[in-house]
Amino acid sequence: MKRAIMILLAATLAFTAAAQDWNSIYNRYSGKEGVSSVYISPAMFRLMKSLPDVEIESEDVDLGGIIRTFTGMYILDIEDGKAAAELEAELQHAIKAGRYELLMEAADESETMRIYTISKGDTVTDFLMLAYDGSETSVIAITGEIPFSELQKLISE
Amino acid sequence: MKADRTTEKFSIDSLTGASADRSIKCPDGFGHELSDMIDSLDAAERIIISGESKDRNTWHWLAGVAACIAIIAGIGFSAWTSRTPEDTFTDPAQAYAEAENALSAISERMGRGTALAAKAEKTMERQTAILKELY
Amino acid sequence: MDKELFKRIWLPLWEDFYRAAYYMLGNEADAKDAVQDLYIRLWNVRDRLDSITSPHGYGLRVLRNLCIDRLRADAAHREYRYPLDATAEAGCTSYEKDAEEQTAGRETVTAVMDAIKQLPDNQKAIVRMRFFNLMSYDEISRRTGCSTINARVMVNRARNTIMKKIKAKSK
Repeated sequence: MKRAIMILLAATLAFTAAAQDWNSIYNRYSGKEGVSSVYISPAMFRLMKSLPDVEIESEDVDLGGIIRTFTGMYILDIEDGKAAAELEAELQHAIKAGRYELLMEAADESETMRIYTISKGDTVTDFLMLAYDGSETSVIAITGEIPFSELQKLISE
Repeated sequence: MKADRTTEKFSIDSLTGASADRSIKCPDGFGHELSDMIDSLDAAERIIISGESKDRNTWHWLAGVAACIAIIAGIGFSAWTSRTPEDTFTDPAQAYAEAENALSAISERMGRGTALAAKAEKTMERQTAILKELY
Repeated sequence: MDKELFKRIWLPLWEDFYRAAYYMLGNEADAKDAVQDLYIRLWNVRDRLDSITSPHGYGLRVLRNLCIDRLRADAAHREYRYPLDATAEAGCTSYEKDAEEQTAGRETVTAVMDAIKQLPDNQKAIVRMRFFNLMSYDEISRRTGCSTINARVMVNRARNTIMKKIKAKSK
């Protein structure tokens, strides 16, 4: 029994070493009341690669290219104010530690929004969008190997 | 008094009588118009509501139940919370559509952000120009 | 209450409602408007209507209140207060709030329909199939020859476009 616990401890240490463990955040928040969640795993993104190509109409941007660079997507829509504040506090911790760079921030009458990234050179490995519209906090976190040029395409759509 | 006469005229009995009065002709095709209108009401409702899908709740309820059982089985909390979460979709086509959806939401906000920034920049330029004139 | 059940219960009564509206308002155009408003009102509160035993009577009462309201708005004098039937009012707990919601609802529906008309042809067709004919993605795929993933993506894109337009209008 003791050995089993030691093995478990070692395993958990390995897990907690990851600075922004979105698995952990997602698992802890997605069960809460007032939270809707969506998770797409690396395995699912791999399955997507073998889907037939989507038809592109003249005005639409081809998002298939960007999606191919993703390994994980976590979406949380939080209506419960307490849970939202908790998550904000957790994220602020990581943000203050300097891991996340603020890419963009905007506020208008309906909503405030911030976008953070973690990059390795020209490649974004973590993308995070937080938006608050007065009643709901929306969180979209994406992990992957996203060339910055692909992200720019999102702005021009 | 006018009020009394109208109340009397509009009593349920007289309305029931009027509704059966065959001398009042009903417009052709109006029934179809009403049916189409109901279709539109229903469709609009579905479009708007489906965009804020509450179906996700069934998924994380199930995940929550699974989580409770696993913890009781003694796997340990932190190893459990760091596990890969359960995929929300089993169909990659659905997952793809959802990923596109999320990206559109992001893209729209980024676009708004840059539009605001551009606007702010323009305002600043004008203000700087005005200041330059003064000196 | 779903769309089909609603239609089965309420649609067959339209001629009775129309005749009563004509009786109260005196002309075809106003009567048609009043009947449309009636059905919109009934649709909006349809979840509360499951226990109605006599749709005919209930509908007439709601219609009466709608017509009285309409006449009241038209009338030069507003000092006459028409007693509203208590039973019908119970179905619409906050009369004015419902009326506001109804106007807002109607405008939203018009905005959605307009947005649909402006969609590119293939998205428009798929939106009709999915939201009007209530077809499953498999059925849509069989009908159009599109893959289900294409159909899903197009529905998503169409919905995003429509929601964008509605939000822009409401600003």
